[in-house]
Amino acid sequence: MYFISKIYVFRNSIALILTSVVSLILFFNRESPIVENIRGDFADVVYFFLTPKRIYQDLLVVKQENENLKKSLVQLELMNAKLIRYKDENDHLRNMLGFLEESSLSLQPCSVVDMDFGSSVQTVILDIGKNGNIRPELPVVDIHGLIGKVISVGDRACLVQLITDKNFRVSVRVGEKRSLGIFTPTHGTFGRLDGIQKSLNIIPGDLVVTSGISDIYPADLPVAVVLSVHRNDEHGFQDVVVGLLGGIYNLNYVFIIH
Amino acid sequence: MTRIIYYILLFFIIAFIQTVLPAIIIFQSPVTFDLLLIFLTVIALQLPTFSATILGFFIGLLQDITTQHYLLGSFSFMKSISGYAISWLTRFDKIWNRGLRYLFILGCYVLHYSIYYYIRFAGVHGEFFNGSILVSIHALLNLFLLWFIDRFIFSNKLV
Repeated sequence: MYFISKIYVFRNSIALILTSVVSLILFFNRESPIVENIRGDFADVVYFFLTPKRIYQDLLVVKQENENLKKSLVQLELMNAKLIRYKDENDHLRNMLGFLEESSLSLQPCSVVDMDFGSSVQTVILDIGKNGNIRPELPVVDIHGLIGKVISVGDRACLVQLITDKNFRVSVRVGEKRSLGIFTPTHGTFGRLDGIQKSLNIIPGDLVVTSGISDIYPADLPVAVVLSVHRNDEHGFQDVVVGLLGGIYNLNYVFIIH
Repeated sequence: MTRIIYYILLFFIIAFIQTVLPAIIIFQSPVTFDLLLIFLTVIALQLPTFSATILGFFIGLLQDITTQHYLLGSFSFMKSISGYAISWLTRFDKIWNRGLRYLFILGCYVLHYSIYYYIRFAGVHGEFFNGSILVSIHALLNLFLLWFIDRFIFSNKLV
């Protein structure tokens, strides 16, 4: 009853609304170019009145896009870092390839899978073993110089004693007269040459290479470079301090010499 | 009941006259009296708002069907609004003077023809000026006819 009385009170407005709605329904249901144009105009009006909503939605979208872009940025940065690493690796491999082509030795490239500097014997593990015809006592080099020698071989991996291990020794030659000596590691990438006579002229910068006397190491493999020379009257030989050429602490790829 | 029949008969007569009424062409648009709008005005000034609105709707619908079926609903929309708006005048007939009441009716006519020409020129660019002139001419023309009817048929008692 209340509802009917309310309708009666607002009958004029209701009549206007009803007739207008019916008219507009009839009008917009017609297929005519004029109606299409008016629909377009209505869409423009609705678009205008929805501007605040659109701005608000745009802000939300911008926020969401910003988050997505941040994520993308991080992903791209990671990818970029990866690509830079690949570039360095590529350069390194290219250098190795060049070294491989220049060398007359039979080289077997392989990758370092693990390094151990903490135990009694400083070693690295390579990803090649009996499957690559590797056997003990083969020298291992990188593109700069001697790294060590194979001490044990598995089916698919082998263990290499590093040149920095305290028990490692190698017969070397140094200086103009290619004097013989024994390389002994001291600490880090440093070592000393034992058995260099005082009469021999050794100067800093001289290259230390393998002598070729040993059955293990072929001759003229770069080992180290002379850093300092000291002649002590109390000793029979010169004190020659050398620095290793091989990148012991940054090994990725090395070669085993057959 | 007699009054209703009288109005219905009058409507059909006016509708017939409307169809044969000559028109002058201004800006490639026919300009003539809208007798049905005048009829609606006369009705709206005598009937309640509700009746005027409903009547306006049906007059417009009939006009749509007979003259522009492809725009069915446009005249019924215009006439509904016009009937509603003009009948509002009866609420102020004791407050507003005669000139103000005519001005209000003129405003209703302008609204009516603005919608009409908006629909007519929808999608046509550069017709705002022509449309404005046509709206003014039509509104003034019909207002003059209303004044004439008020003066000579209703003895200035209609508006």
